[in-house]
Amino acid sequence: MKQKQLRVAIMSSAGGTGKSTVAVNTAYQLARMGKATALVDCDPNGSLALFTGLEDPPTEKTLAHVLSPSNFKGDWPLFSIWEDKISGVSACLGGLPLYEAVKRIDQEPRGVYLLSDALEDYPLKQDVLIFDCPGTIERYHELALAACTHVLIVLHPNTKAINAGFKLIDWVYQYRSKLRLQPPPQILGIVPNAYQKDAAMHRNHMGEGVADESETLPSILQGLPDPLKLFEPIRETRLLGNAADYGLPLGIYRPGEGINRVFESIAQEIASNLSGED
Amino acid sequence: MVREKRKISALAAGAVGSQTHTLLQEKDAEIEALKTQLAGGANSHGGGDGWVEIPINAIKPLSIRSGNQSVQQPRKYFDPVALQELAESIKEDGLKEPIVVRDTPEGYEMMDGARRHEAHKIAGSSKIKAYIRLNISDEEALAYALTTDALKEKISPLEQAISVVDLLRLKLHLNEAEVKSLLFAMQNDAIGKTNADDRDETYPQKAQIAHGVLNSIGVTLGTMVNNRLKFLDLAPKIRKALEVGTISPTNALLINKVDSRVHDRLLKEGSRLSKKDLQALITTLTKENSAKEVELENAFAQNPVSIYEQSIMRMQELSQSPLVQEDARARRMFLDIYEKLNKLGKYVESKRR
Repeated sequence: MKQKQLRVAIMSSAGGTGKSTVAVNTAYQLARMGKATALVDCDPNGSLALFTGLEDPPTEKTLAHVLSPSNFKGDWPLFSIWEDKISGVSACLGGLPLYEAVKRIDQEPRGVYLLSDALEDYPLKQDVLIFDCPGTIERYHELALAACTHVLIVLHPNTKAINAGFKLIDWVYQYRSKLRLQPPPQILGIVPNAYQKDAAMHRNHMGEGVADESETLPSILQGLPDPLKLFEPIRETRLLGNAADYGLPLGIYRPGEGINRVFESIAQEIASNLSGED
Repeated sequence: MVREKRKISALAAGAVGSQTHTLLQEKDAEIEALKTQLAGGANSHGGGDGWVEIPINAIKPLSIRSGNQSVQQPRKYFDPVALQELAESIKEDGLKEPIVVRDTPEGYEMMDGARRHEAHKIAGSSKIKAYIRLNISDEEALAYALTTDALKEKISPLEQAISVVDLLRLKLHLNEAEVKSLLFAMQNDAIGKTNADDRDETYPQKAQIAHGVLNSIGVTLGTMVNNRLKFLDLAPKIRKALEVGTISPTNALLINKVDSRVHDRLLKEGSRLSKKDLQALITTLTKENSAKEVELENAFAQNPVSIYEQSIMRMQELSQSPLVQEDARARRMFLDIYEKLNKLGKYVESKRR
């Protein structure tokens, strides 16, 4: 029987919401559960190299190589990360070469399916793949959507970001229908990041001590025609940035920190989808 | 100008729209795939494509209850002759196309093949070939049942009307009256008589979905509105007669047009008549009625007193007849006259003031 693989595209429709943070920390928690995970950086900004403590690689050692059907023959440029602390996590990096590679989406006959095709022709053996997408909806989102089984949306709990988040949800459904994806990718959930308990707007949107529940994110997401899961918020903290500066997940940088539980719950949700069906 | 803080629920409108649209489209694609899969299976023999034999009496009708909407499997009435023929052919050659059921905690429920199931009972078989589908939601099961029913050639216009309206009720969460007005509004649009009152902001999306349903069943909007919907407005007795197949669809519509007092006679005497003969019968019956009325009017105009006197005499006679007291029907008719007299009294009184 074919091994099931979960491919989670982490998206947001604003920069700096914490996609890479969620990506590396979820990958670490998955590895702790014994699920081999590969991070795939789909972002020309290349934040993943920073967050995993790797140096910017040459073009042929990035995702750009994978997206070049004439050159790519299954030699995935995967780098093992945090090897001294944990096994089972690797990364395929992005960065500047992706600026050029994106042009091939328009030139190749199956442009939007370049990543999906690469994974079909040369499958990766990991249990989970995590695609770290750019900060605003663009071609790499199409590429990731066409290749993923699930989408995870990260946003800050303020009105502007929530507005952008709903635009992204709108886009996901439009494009899974336009691209006729079968089976259609599911939205795994929404992760509120940088939650500030002392900000009234954040509390109101998250429904903390609010009388009218109808105007809160939890109840709106529950009331959608296709209800969406809302993960526990990740509170605003400098620790995550500090950990990233060392190229480490919070679980290694500060194992005792409570926020790790949120990433654990995301990893658990992924793991339960992994074992849910064959 | 008073400004209000932006409601975040309003920001979700676009996402709600595309979720709805995409989910419906994917549901259609699933049903389409299921149909193709089953059509492929119908051509091959043996259990290779996944059918199994299940006991005849283990199959229940599809039952669906969701919220305050309840939609039943389309009512099925089978032509007894055709059913007998099918039973004979099953006895001789077996069943060619397995039926489709869904597996539920309560047992197997029929999705497609009620007629074949019925014919097996007549043929005295204890088992039937069936495809068993797992994890089929109520909505998928009903949409499948309705769509395949509607695609069957022998479906009556009434059944087709019911299927389309039920399918739209399910997909759009509307009641029967709302579905009808939606279809009428769409038809008005199509013939260039757009009426702004017919539309709200959800109209374009609903109309698009309705067009999709009509297409999938292969019936045009014009046919649906002009020739099918009126079957839903048949008087209950006529609808019943059409459902059990004692009258033809054309005759049902013809009878529905005339005075309801002659419905019973027409259903009895006109059931097997051609359209032309039925038309003639209707003319005779309505003429009979109107001829009697004209005769009476003339007699009254010539000598009203004679009619009054005759009425009083009749009432006196009847009031002494034991039958009026003993026979329920006679008593009812007598009391009807009494009620009508009272009505007449009140009318005259009101005019006098």
